[in-house]
Amino acid sequence: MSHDYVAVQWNHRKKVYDIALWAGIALYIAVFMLVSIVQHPGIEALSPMTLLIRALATLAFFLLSIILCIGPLARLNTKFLPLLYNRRHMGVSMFIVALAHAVLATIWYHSFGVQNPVVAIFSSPGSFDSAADIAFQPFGFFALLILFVMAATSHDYWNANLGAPIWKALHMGVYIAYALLVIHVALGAMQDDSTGLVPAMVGLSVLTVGSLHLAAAVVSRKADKEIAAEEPWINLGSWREIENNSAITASVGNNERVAIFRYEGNKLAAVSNVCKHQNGPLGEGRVIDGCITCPWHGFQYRPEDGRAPAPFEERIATYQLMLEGENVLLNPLALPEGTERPVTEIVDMIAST
Amino acid sequence: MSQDNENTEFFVGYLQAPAGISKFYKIVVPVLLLFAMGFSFWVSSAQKSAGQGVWDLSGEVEVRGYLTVDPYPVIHITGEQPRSVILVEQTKMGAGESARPYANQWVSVSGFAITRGDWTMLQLVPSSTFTVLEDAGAAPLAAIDMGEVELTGEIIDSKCFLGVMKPGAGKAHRACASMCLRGGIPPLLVVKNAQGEKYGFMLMNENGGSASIELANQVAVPVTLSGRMEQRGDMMYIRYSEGSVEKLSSTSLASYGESLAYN
Ligand code: HEM
Ligand code: FES
Repeated sequence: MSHDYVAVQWNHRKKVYDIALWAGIALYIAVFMLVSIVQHPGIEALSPMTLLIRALATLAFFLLSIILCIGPLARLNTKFLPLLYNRRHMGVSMFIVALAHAVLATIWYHSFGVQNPVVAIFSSPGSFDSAADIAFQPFGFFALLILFVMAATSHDYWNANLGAPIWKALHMGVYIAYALLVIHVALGAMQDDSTGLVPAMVGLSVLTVGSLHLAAAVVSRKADKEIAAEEPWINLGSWREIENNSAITASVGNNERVAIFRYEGNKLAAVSNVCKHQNGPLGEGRVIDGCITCPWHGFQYRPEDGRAPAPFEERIATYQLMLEGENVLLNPLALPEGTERPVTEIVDMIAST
Repeated sequence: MSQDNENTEFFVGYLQAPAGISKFYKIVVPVLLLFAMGFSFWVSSAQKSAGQGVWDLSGEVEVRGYLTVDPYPVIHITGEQPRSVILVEQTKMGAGESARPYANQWVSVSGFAITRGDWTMLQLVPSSTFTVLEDAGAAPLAAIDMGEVELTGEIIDSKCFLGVMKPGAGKAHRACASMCLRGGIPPLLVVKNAQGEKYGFMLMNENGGSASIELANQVAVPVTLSGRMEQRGDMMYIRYSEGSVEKLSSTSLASYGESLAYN
């Protein structure tokens, strides 16, 4: 399953998702402003502009943290896959919020003076004498630049034209942006904070994001059958370990990962684990309507030849399998993308029980 | 052949969501929204007061008094309640240029008031004009020397700190403070005594000239400096000694008492 490119493919569920997301964004800002107005009334009032800058900043950071948690959460529990399906909308929304923060901060703190506002971001006073003295604004600027490139190339058009590996590498930039933002906050807002709130906020985020990634890495490593590629036919164990309409995965040298599916009860087929769309983990997908279906955005491939059903044209590498009693044997040499090879059938399911 | 694996959990964007998934999200989405609101409440309520400065844009006020411009433009109001009012422009600029032609005369001028405690500032507007008043007596000013001092505090830009930006001190505001000083806004050394009361001293260089530009890199961090204190009108000045300004930035700014952004 793939598609032609339209601006954004809207469907009812995406609309509901976006409405919930933007209602949340509006509510967050409203709560932030209201709490401060009630707490510091009259002549104690903080500048509304400062409040807005802070509300947008902390909200963008919060959203980014959530976005970074969705990937590992979905690997740990498939129930979180729907969040992944719409993660790009959250990403673009987060960028808009971060951009609003950056623009307002640049207007408020860097404009109306003797210098060009953007130049002023880089000539913010400071030195490298101590952490407290280092200017924090440039870190925010570069993070914003990365987030911009990602938001601008988030559409499938770019994914298809840059190729999934390059696109994926580009979008790994989010981790660099996140690191830059942690520094932006640590050298900025945290220096003025004597309540411990800012370190708590940043620490909580880094701890959650970090531990979820670690947990997901451990889980998917465990799930993998690790095998040296040179070995001719690799024994993957009994077919009974493969749930019907699902897959197990194996890595075969050089980071190549293979998904071995069982479907229609008695058929076995091995294909590359990597979806052509955005490198989604096909082995975590299911066979639906006779097609291997990617867990991320639902692209489909026929188990027989690794090709997307017409009119779509994506192709993935296939692999040969054979049975030795109950044991499934895999030939680790990938066949060219879209190559048809005989599907392995489990002949005597009952007898081998 | 069996289609045994009933799909209750696997979600495909373009298909009807399985019942198990829909139920899950009817809980997860509200929980996530509540969590976001709680986070917002938590972060916002931890913000501290930024003092009682007021930037009153509701109407212009008129100030009448004796104008001096060195090192910064100040109108000295005499009489029952003497007060020295600092003049600044609308943006991040001092008002030295506009005021200089009327120096050392009795004038009246209107603009927006910026006040914080005993401090008053007047922000000129494009329509502000200086009117020279009938000579209302002798020039009231004589600088009174108060001797050598060494103080620890934070150099801030007087305009933001007195009420235009709240908070208008501390590291978040540092780039702005520096820009203000480069534009000629008078630098103020704010010092807290043991009781937490704040004192402000206008800073000038050893020759009695403006110190705005030369201090632009030393704003918004705790510093110590030394120099001679003197009183002019209702205001305290320090003629700081060149080279005496030392940043105390070996520690986090927040550990310098409370940051001076807060009351
Ligand atoms: C041109 C780029 C940027 C500039 C000039 C800038 C400027 C600032 C300033 C001046 C503050 C201090 C605000 C205050 O406390 O009053 C701040 C805080 C912050 N900024 Fe940025 N920023 C930029 C980009 C970003 C981006 C892209 C993010 C993305 C999330 C971000 C996240 C934050 C956060 C989380 C804080 C801490 C807010 C708080 O705890 O009060 N900034 N930034
Ligand atoms: S469908 Fe998007 S990665 Fe597979």
